[in-house]
Amino acid sequence: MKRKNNKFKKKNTNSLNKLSLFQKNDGRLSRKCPLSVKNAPVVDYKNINILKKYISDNGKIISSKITNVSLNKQRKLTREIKRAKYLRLI
Amino acid sequence: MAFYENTLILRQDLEQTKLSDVKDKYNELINNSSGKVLKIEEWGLINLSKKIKKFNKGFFLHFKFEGNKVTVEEIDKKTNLDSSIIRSLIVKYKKLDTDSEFFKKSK
Repeated sequence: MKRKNNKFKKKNTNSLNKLSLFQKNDGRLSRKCPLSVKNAPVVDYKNINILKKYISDNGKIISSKITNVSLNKQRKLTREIKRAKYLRLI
Repeated sequence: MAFYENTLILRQDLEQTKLSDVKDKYNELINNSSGKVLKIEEWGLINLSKKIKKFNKGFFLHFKFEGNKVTVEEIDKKTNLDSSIIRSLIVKYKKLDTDSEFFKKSK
C-alpha cells in the first residue's frame, strides 16, 4: 500500500515531469493475483481443473511472472501440484 | 487432535468384495487407534497419467478423519505391507470441509 501512495504523490507534485521522456508509465502493466480475489477457487490437490491452468503442456509449473499469482499463493500452488502429480491425477 | 486426509490407490484388478473389505479394514483401524472417521469417499476407477508398477488405472479411496500421531503411524505401517495398495498420501489440515466433493460418481 505504501508504494502506491508514493506513486500518486510523485505524479501530483511534479506536474512538469509529465513531459519528460524518462517518466515511467507505472500501474498500467500490473494485474491483480487471480487466486487472492474474493470468492477465489480453493487451491487443493483434489481440485484438478484449477491446477491444470498453471501447468504447461509438458507438465512444468508456469512461473508467477507470467501468471501474476502472488508469492504466497504460488508457494501453495507448487505444493499442491506436486501432491497431485504424486497421486497421478495430473 | 488434528484433521487428516488419507487417499489410497488400489490395484485395478481387484474384485468389488475385496474393495469393500479394504474400506472396512481401514475404517476399523482408524477408529480403534484413538481416531475418528468423519467421511469416506469412493472416487472409483480413474486413469493414471503415468504408470505405477505396470498399472494404468486404479481405484481411489479417500478418508477424512480426526486423530493424532499414533493413528498416522499405524496407517503407514499397514499400507506398506498391504499388497493391494499401490500408493498412499496423508495430508494434515487445520480445518476440514466435508461438504465439497471434487470427484463425484458419474455413471
